[in-house]
Amino acid sequence: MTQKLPKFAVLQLSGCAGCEVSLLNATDWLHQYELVYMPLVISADNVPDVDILLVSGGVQTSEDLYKLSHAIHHANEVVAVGTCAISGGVTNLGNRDDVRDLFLSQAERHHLPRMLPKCRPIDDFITVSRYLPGCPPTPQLFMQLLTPDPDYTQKKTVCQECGRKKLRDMKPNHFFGAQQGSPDPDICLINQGYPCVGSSTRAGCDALCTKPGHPCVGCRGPSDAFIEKDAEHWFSSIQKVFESMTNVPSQEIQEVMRSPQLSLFLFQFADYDQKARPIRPKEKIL
Amino acid sequence: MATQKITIEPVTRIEGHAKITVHMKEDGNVEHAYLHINEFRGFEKFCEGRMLQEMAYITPRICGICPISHHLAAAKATDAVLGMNPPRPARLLRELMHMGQIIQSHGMHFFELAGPDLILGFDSDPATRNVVGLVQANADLTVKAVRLRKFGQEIISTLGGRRIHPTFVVPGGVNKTLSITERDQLLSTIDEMVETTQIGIQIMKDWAAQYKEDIDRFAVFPTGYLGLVTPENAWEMYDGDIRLLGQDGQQLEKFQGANYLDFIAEHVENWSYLKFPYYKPMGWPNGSYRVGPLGRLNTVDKIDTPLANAELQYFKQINNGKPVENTLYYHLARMIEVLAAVEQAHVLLNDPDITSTDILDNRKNPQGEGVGVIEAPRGTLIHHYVADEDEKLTKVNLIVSTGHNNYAMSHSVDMVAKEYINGKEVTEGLLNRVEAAVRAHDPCLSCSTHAVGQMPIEIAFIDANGNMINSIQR
Repeated sequence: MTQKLPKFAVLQLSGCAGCEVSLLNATDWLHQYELVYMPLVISADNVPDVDILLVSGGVQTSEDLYKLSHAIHHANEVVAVGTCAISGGVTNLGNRDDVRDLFLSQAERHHLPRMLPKCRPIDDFITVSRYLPGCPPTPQLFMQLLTPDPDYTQKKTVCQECGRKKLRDMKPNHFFGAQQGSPDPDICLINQGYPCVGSSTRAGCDALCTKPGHPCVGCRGPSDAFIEKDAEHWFSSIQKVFESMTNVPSQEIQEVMRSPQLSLFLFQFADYDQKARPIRPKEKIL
Repeated sequence: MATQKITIEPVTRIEGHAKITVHMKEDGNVEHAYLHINEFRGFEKFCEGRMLQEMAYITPRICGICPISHHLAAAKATDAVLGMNPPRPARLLRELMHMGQIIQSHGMHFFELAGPDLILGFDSDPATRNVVGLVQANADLTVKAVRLRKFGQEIISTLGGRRIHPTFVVPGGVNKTLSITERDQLLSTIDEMVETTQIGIQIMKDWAAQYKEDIDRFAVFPTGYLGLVTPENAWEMYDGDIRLLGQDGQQLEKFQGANYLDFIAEHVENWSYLKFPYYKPMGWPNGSYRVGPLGRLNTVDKIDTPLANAELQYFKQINNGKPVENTLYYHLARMIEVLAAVEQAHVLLNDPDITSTDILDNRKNPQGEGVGVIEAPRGTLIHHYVADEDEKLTKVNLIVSTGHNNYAMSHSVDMVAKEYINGKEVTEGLLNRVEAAVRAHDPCLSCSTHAVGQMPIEIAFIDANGNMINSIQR
């Protein structure tokens, strides 16, 4: 290295490494940062002193908690990366009681980390200076985090990025399940009977699910309008959209909204059972 | 009586969280080395009660390195449960996406995970023994490797919208056609990709010639071998029957994926969250087998594309037609598979049906139960679902690629530790070799511990009395 580059580290807790792969896809940082810790690609034992610490994955085991607590003392800034670290994501699906029973029954194993009572987002334990949402965040967002472009702007919701036409006179009487049939490529998915939550999901992904016809499941979390409010506001907003755009009986909308079986819940309300969730200020979210 | 334990934690340049403990005898030699898989994630359990159609979207989150494998295995299992038959163009498109996945995942392993050991050396400075060091050491190769991996990802994003966790499959087919423009765009770089892959294979062959001694010393042991094959026993990644060979290369079984429970059982050890699958009739551990690139190339008789088939014949003569037992040949096998995947992508892109709009067949004939099997980059992947009449899942069983290799990884770690560590002086380079025994298998521990958890490495040295004398954590 001829000049001194800022250093950053990536700590992966319980997750899938998808965030890490997305970061590797954004190769442009290679000459602007020194990556000093990331077990996926770097052989280093502990997090050294760094400018930025990226944390992906949820806090699921005693080891996750230990590593997180240790690493933050070496970082000027901590960034929560991806849905698991921010609000639980798919990793949180294991928080159901019968699943936790299975997890906790593993406690007597040798040489293995113990399961915590529940998987938690990292801001339950530490102060996070920024959030980088997505499952995973796009390479463009990683670059915007590492090398901010002052002219960067993004739309408010996935709905605005999607561009499908909303029709007043096309109202379905029932919802399909998550993905069925072959949707028309130009018309709003809700008009066609798909419970899509793009209307309240944070933009920044370029609507890459809804454009080819998959209803948005909210992997990027809520837009600025809802991020600082509790889950109930967000919830009722989606409900109102469904009520105004469909003729689906309100009983069925209720069921769709409340049923933990809908993919709606995979990401958006993964931490909805938490009573005292910390407020995530919108300024901190990319 | 100081006997010791050395701990390597985390094991790096693998996907997931693991540690290795090396237990020492009083004379300083290794008594036994263990590979501990530290993750426990619970997918099988928490998918129970969810909707069948969500599986193609939930299970990719098992692993961000090969999400397509789960996306497709889930699609196949879902089709089987619902009794749906995707039209031929949909099957071709799924297979094309899978080829993109093989190229990108194998490419990533070669370049970002294992490559630094091979190109920079096992004993090189750990601070630069990584992808960044590789970029500085060989910028030209780096550019080529990046473009190869990008090509794989372009196939995936062209079809699925996104490179990681895409949205492509639906029950009975796929949700997007491939336009002629998109096809031609992908076809235009095939020649370059073949060339890059051949450079990679040559690097592996040269490396193998130079380090022959290491290769023959490093975890060479007999096992069975398992993988999907075509009816003619050729290399097959998306569909086909499962073939199992014994240690001598003779076929023990060939069976439909749906019947896997008749042949495969799983063993549990309390020092690892990862289970150990084995061939039932031979019992544990005699029935252990290997999967992934080495397992597959040992299992097949031929590859249906010419350039890769020529390389396969080269591979087959390494051990005079008998199965290749050397763990380090996983790397060469992996590069040969990239070539096969590039060639197969070429074949698929030239198929007239690939741009067809007949990509979905909605007809159902619900069966209540179904199995989907594909060859993921790391080996045979089995998804098995049972659903009620509302299409809600009542039982989920996943046997994931890395799991099949658990015996091989654990045994390799033990063998390499015993071979290279003698207790007098334990260098970082020696410990890196112990890690490399795991790395060669390209494990995905987030995947394999779907049932139970998460994977960095710790190597612990333990004395004869069970006291830890030294611990190396990563």
